[in-house]
Amino acid sequence: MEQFRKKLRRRIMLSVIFCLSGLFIYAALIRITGAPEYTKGILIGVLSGSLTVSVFNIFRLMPLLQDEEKLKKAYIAETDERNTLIQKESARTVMSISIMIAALAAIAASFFNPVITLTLSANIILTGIVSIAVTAYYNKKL
Amino acid sequence: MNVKNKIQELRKARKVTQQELADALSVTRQTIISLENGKYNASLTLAHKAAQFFGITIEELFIFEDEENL
Repeated sequence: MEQFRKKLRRRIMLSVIFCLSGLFIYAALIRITGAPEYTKGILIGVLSGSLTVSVFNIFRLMPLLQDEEKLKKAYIAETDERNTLIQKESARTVMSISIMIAALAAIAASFFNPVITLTLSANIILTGIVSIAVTAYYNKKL
Repeated sequence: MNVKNKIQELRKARKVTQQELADALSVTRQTIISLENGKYNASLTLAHKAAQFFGITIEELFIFEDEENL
């Protein structure tokens, strides 16, 4: 349980670092690059989304460190083998569906915008390469 | 290989609730429900823990059925 407590502390610390570095990177990008309004909007969207998730994580994890009972429940929920299997299966399914959607979107985009088609195709190819690399890694590791 | 188990039978015989068994095995109650319903097959570690909890062997707790007829 002490290991899990350390893991949670590390996650909280990472979330805090992520929040602070996100704000710093945003400020730096705006100042250095003098980004246009549209890019600023995208950056603000990405930043606020990431910050919301990180802050939510911090407020979700902090109480667990104070309460032994809640900590144990969280530990069981996280290490439960059925939950782990569900996550693995969901990740695999989500991956396949995402690739199929991206492929369909690339086909649809080819009718009106070649840039979008190429971007989506590059995304699919990159996902495939990453997938092969990750499979090869786990093939060696396990 | 089809795997059945006697978890529900033994749990009820010993008047243990699903939550108590889940706590003892460090899994969620949902996992116990799935095991009892035969929707989920336990890992070797969980099977060992469950067998230890009931004080029997894995072979006594889990029934391995060959699917040669398929």
